[in-house]
Amino acid sequence: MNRTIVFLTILMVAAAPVFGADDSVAKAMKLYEKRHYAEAATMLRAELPSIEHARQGTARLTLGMIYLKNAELHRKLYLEALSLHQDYLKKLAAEQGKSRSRFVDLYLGEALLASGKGEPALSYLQKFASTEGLEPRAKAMAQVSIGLCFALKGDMQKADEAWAGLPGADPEVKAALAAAYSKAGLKDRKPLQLANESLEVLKKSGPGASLRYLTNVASVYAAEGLADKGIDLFKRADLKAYSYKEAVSKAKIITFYDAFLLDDLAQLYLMAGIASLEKALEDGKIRDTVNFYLGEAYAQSGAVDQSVKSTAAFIASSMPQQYRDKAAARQAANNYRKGRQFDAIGVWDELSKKQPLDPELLAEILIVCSGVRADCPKLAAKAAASVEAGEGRRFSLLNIALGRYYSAKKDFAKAASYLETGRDKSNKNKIEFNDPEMLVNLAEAYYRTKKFSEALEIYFEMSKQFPEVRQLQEALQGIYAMEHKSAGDVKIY
Amino acid sequence: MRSNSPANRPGNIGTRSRTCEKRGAGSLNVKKNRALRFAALTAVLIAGTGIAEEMKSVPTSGAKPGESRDEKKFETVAPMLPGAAEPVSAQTGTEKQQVEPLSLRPLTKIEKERNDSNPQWSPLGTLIAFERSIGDKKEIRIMTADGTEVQTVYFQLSEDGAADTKFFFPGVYEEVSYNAGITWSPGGDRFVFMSNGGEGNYDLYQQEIGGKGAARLTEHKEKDGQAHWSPAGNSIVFVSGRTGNGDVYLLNLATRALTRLTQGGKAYLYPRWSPDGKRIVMMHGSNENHHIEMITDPARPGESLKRLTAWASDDLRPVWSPDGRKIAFYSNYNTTGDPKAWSLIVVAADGSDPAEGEGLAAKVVASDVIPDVESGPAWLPDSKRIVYVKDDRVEYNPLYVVDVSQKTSLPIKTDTKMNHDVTCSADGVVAFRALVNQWDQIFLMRLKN
Amino acid sequence: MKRTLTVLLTLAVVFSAALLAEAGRKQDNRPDGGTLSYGEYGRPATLDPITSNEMISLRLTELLFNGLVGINEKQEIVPELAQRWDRSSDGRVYTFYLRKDVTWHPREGEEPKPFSADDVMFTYKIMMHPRTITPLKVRYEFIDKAEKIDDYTVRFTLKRPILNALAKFSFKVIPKHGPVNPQFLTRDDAFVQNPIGTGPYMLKNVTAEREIVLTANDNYFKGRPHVDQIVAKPFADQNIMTQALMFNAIDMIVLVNPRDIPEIQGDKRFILQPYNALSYSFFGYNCRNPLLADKRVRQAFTYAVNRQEMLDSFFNSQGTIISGPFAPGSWAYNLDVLPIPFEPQKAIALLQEAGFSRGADGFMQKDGKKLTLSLKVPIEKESEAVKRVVLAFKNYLKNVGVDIKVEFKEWQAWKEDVFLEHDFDVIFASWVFDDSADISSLFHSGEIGPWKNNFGGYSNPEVDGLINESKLTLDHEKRRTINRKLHAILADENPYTFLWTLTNYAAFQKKVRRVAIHPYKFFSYADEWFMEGKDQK
Repeated sequence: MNRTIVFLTILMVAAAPVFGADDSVAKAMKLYEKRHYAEAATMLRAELPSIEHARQGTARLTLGMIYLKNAELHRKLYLEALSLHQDYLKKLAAEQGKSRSRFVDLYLGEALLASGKGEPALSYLQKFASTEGLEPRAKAMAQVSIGLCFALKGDMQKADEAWAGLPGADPEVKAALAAAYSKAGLKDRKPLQLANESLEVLKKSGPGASLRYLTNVASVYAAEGLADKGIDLFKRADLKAYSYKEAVSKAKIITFYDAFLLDDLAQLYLMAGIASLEKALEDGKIRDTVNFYLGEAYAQSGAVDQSVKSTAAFIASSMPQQYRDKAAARQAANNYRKGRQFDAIGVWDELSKKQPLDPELLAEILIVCSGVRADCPKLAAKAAASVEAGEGRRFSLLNIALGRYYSAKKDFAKAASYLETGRDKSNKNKIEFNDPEMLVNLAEAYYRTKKFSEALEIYFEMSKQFPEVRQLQEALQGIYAMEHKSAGDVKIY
Repeated sequence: MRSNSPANRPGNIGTRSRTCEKRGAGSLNVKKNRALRFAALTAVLIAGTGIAEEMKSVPTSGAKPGESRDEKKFETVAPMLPGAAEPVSAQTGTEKQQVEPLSLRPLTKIEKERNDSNPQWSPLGTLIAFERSIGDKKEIRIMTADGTEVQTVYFQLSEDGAADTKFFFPGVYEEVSYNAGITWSPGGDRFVFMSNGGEGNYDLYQQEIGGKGAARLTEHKEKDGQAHWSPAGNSIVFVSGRTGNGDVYLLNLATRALTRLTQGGKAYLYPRWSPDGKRIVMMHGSNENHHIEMITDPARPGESLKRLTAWASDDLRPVWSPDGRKIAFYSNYNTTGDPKAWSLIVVAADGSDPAEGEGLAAKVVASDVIPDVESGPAWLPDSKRIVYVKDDRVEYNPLYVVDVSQKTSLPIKTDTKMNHDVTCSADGVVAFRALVNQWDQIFLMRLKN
Repeated sequence: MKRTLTVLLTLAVVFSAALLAEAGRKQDNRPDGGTLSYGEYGRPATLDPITSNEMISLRLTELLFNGLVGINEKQEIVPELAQRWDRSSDGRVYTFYLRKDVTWHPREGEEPKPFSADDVMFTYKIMMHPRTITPLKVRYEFIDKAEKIDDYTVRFTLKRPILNALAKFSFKVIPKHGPVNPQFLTRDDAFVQNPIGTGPYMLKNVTAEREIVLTANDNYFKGRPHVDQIVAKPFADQNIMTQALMFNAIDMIVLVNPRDIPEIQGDKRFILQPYNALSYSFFGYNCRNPLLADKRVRQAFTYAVNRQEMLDSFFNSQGTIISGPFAPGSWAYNLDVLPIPFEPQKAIALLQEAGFSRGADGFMQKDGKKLTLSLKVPIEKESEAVKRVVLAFKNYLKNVGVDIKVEFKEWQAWKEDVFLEHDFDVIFASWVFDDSADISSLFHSGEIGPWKNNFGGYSNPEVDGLINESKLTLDHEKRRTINRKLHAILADENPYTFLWTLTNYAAFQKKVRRVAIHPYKFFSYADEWFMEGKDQK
């Protein structure tokens, strides 16, 4: 009976023949399976109004799933970009002499600020702001970030000093300031209004908005909960665009990127996902399934209590045991987040004793473990033994989970080896065959073990579907160029 | 649009959509023998090329799957072209003379995005199996000779929960199964194949034509493969890695009794039963140096093991002549010492020919051939001629036919390129793969007797 | 006095070597033992690091020899035969202080001889000798002079400082007492087939089946390698090689045939490990032919071929289409340059623009001359896949009215036609680079000439200028910028039709542990590989 419900849902969601081959939900699902997330979401969202009432819930559920997965991917991309940017920019910043980049200070400062390192950020930003002969907008951008550094420290006086006298008429600066207010939680300064004003100015003045500008406005929208509006900002944007191109000399041109583009995208997708899933909850037929995903989405957004509620509802449902077990593993992670580490580990251990053990469940447990950075050596050992003995691709998920576990533990050599085992070799870089999030994990492991070209190849292929990975590619290329050691050999064959 | 468009060939959309009627001879043919469901003479437009391939007498099988036929399957309609005359010495390699096939056509519709390979005729020639690669999936397709689908073998050990997983972890993984190496039972109603069932371990399975499930024959963590069904009984030989090297095993399908036939530090590969099912020929050796060896009495495999070749050359893929008197194999023996230049050698199956030296070198029937360990070379039913692939760079691996007693070779005019995997049915239909528009297709061809 | 010193020194060396032999085991608690056999499709031409010029040999020399410095997995320059070094402040003088505990692999019945500065000087001189046939010479022309300071100190003075100079001292050192001819090295010298080195493995013998048997060097200065024996097995047939792996007759294939990847991937006993050699395949054009001197004609050819289709069918999609002269995994790739799409109509238009028109026979003509070109392909490259590519190229170009006459040639004859006589219109080949992704020798007009890498005679002052600037700079970002520009120019100019980078996979049994692979030299870290006692055979 339980199974029937699930299968009914599956039929509704995935099986095209029931509703005709051109059914938009089925089409979106197909795109989703191929990991063409943005395309899937845009298409399904546009089709929502024309979908019959009885199918609205399913459509919303599907849309929510798509957004959620895209949010996870972009969260991972953002974190990876942040660390790559810092590694690269630190190397650039260490150069001396007149061919040293000036803008490296601005972008390194911003990257440090984004990763919560306010002090070093401030010193780079101030160094940049004091550079002679800067164009006013660049200087203003630095001032905005300097102000944010102080504001986040709670030093509003210095923040205001930094923010005083900015060229407020410049929509780019206005948007940056709005984003800074928003990030500093200064709602009273009406960041949304500021952002909208800048939009008006920009519309009148004509020239297209820069990606940095859009990103700043999107930050504000995200903070205000305007997910759809935020996503729409990027509809026609070139997501691989650089933020600034500095011609240090004729033959030395450096491009800089904004990592927080990825942060914004991750946030917006997550919010849109939650909104869509919450709507889907109205459809009683699929409520249980929706709760499964909502639990996950709330947890990602940091709303642990809500996650606990949704997850508990799913566990209490009559859905098949294997999924309720997975939900139980996630619920334990919620408890872990709430400080009940001991209980959580107990639940995971208990679940992992199930006979016969489903590799997917073990994988799920390991992944939630990694998600909260819990130390689960027993589980990892069990999983390692299981993949050693296990057969076929059913275990690729478990290999990937082990890889993610060791990534979280910063044992990148081990991570690379497990993730590599879990990778589909015949289609090694294709996102249609390999979860892009897994590929980003693998690229990270390769980067950390200095196999730069392997990491670059992953992003090269991924950029065809996700142009926004360009900033990771550029940073990685820069590091590779500086770090490689070789004799200059070339052979024909 | 075919004049005889038989209604009893469901699913034969094969060549039809790109096939048009050519001339009246076909309908004449049909009139002559409607019951035999002969195809008309056709010209097939190969997809996209715009090149019209001459099609003569399309051989079709009207037989139901698994059913043996006593009917005549082919009718020769197209005459040999004038000038397909006297064979010439393989050594002189005259290119002007060539053999015109009586019929030639692709087995299925010419398509892209998949590569077909390794055709295997059922013993009676009623069915043909081949392997189809789509991405990294590999499945076995079984068809009648006219391209009617009979069965697809794509074996999955566990299918449980696939739909659930699709929903909860869409696209996260897909079990990809790899199926290959089919061998037919003497009656053509059953077959054995190798599969990993999507789970990472190659073993052998048995299935019936039309049957749904496959029965597992072997289960070992090392690979089992290269099975060959005895033409005379209910047993197979196969190669297993379980000894650590690759050894030949005999499996009685009725009792499931397993007997190891070979012992030794080097691999034994590609065992093949003699047509009478009494002897087994195989290759044995390492890297660049394999020998042809024969078990003349499977009951006494050790004592009855005979070396047919024992020299420094690499000898691959022995194939019995249909009369069981000769064995053909590939060898990288050549006068220049180039390890990648291959010859075709034919020796007496009774071991009476020299196993090395000039004596064996004298048994070369064709030089500059493309070796292939999966299928080919293809003996014709008369046991006098072999169809093989020539390493001719101008013509891109054309098909040749050699008269083994005269050692004279003639090119076969197929106009197909990158030919490979040649095999011949008991009644003389040659199947092979060839490249059309960058993708491999299976072709069927009949030669003049 | 001096004599005494030398004797003492020698004694000290012998003594320390003996000590090391005692303490020669690695201190990593991993088991020694076992034999690892690996399959190669083909035989190595030579086994020495100077005359060898193909990848099969390169992989073997990596096991047999050492450089002054090495590059570890973390991309750090690490001591090998030199235990330390210093660099003058102007970056022109490098002084290497050599290890005193290194011995050469002993010849049978002989005591191991110590390694010294003389061997380094000998190697450098023989490498640069005009009569030595080696691809290395051009790469070391940046060295102005080499001097022996004392038995364990050598000094190299550079013509000018260059980026990554230290890494270039990873060239392999051969013993002074090795080659028969002390002046220069050719493939006739017995040494090239029976070399001795300082590396982790020693050549034991070559069997009748041409297996190359290497045994662990107990005296290896980094500690005895774990695996007792490594056996290189050449195969004449790739399918047999794969089956040999599948049935356990060999433990590893260093480069898996792309068509066999699905079958190996389907077997959980094996690990398929990618290693990213920075390489790509291309059709290269001879710009000396006036027809091909016209950029539009070369561009037309690139529009005419469907590269993705070839990659999908012939190589099982195991690779990536490229847009220019770098591999996508390289740091130098210009991500803004997209591959030219498959557009036969555009190809025809370009040819028409270049003055061609279709003749009655369907082929393009200009001034009454049919557009017929010769494509030369080396036989060494000949495999099923290569023939398919060549055939497809011929067909694609026929569709736009170009007649390609294909000629397969023996490797040596092909090289003479291409690099010496320049007698060809089009070639199909591949370049493989180490991490430097250095294309300067491929497209600089100064590299036109006999046996030089700019075989097509491509000449463009702008490209020359950029390459010169890139060679002179010590600034990584500047070099990156220059390479991006080079990429864009060459992608537009089409001196080649750039095709694809193929994925390289090694396949090996899971029992071989801790396998790290150098993407170019392969066996650089093989001394660390090991097998558990139960898996050793």
